[in-house]
Amino acid sequence: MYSRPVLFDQSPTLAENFSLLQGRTKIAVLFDETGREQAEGILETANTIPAESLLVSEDTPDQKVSEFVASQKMGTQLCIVAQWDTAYRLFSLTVEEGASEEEIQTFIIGQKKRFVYCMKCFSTNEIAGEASAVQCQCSAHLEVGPFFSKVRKGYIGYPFIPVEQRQTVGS
Amino acid sequence: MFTQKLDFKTTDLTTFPFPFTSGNYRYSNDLKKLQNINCVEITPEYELQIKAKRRLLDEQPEVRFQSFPHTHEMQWEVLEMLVDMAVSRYPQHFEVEKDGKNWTFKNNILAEEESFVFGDSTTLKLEPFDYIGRHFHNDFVLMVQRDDNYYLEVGQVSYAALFSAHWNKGMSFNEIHAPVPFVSRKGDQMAERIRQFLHSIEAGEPWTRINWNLMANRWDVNYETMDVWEPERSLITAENAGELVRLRVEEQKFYRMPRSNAILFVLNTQFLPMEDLKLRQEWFDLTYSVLQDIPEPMAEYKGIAPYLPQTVEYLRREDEKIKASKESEA
Ligand code: HEM
Ligand SMILES: [Zn+2]
Repeated sequence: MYSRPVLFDQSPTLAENFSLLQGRTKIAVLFDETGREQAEGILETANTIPAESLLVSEDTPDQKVSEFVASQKMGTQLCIVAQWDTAYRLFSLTVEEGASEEEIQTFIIGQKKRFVYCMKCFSTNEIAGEASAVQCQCSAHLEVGPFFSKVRKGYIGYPFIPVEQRQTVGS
Repeated sequence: MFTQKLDFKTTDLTTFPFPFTSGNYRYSNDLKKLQNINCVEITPEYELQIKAKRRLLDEQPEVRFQSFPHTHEMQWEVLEMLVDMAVSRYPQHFEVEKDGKNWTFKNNILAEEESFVFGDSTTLKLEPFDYIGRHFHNDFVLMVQRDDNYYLEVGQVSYAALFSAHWNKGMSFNEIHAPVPFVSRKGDQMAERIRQFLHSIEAGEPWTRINWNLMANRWDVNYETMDVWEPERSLITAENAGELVRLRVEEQKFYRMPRSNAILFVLNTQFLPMEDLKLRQEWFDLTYSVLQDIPEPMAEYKGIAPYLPQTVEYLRREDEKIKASKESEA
């Protein structure tokens, strides 16, 4: 599809604690090594319903993940437990297989990442921590706006010229 | 590089879609049934506007035109509608020969002729929507209905008031309008109600509304050039506002496309400098009244807050002059 959901820091799928989502009768857990402990916890909590899991590393081919997701039946809740970059990749592969946000719970190990989309050069840049402004690789200064684009995969970056760099015009 | 200097304004005032009907303005669901359903309109500024539009599209293709690859069939439907409208309203300016799928479209104003196979995008140098859009001074946006919402899947935007085809690509009606401080007179949230209203638009019965803004010595303002126009706004003074500040009006039209079920959003953008408002006393009075009463969030959102006071001061001085000359006549 043309504008599938993407994982971002305000994704409705992000969760702290596992809970069985409405109408789900089975769970499938995708996790990386850092998420092993939490994944095992989830599987334990949900031990009354059928469950499956897949450990994913950087070397795991996309196709293996896609096949795992595709083989899940209707009514399965998909849990992703991993560091940001891996979670991002797993999330994208999962929605590509047709899963909707209502079927996914995402647990991030460590820091979430945020990206800003430069309206000057149309590239994405990672935002350091809580920063409200970022300098793009193209040298434009960007104010991080509150609006997110799934197609551009980042928050809008409004270009501005820092006051000290402005040429004084008139008085 | 494209200069934003505006070298035209509306000269035939009968074609200017003046936006105000009362002395104060608030957001509302102000859609009305469109009377003349043909959106093709040739004004005295046609050639100037087309020239500027095409220059922008050529210089900033990424900013000004965006589409998804799956939209070609829908694009051809739009092309067909616009060609038919142009030929039926202005047979002296536009002609089409249709020999089965082999079409030849002629624009006599620009002395241009193009032959293509209808439905086969490889027979055109541009995408069908981009090609046909360049024959009319309007902006065109195709909002495709999926489930309960509308998504921007094709857009050709050369007269932006914070409208970026690039940024808004793929967004839903609600996502697009998220920045608008949509509070009506009654104080309720309007975006949902308007989206529901769009569902009721039927093929062959388009709707219309007028949106307005002010422009400080520019053709358009978009997010891509914010670093340029934001600081420039402080150059407006009560002395130069008459010439440099323009009332920028968008006549918006909404068409349900019968085959794709998408909504085609057509914008006719026209400009009138503040000093020309005096040509119609009623327009001058209404604009002066409305601009004195803009709620702060609306002024901030529209990007006019830094030069609104200077503009109102210009109008106040003119108003005094008009009143004084009336008194001396009496
Ligand atoms: C369905 C097609 C439509 C599209 C593609 C569209 C697009 C837009 C865009 C891009 C903006 C600027 C948003 C920004 O600041 O980033 C905007 C603003 C706005 N839209 Fe729409 N719109 C549509 C329909 C409507 C309708 C039907 C209404 C009302 C009945 C409406 C009312 C408004 C208003 C009031 C604003 C704020 C404008 C201002 O104060 O200058 N829109 N729209
Ligand atoms: Zn950049």
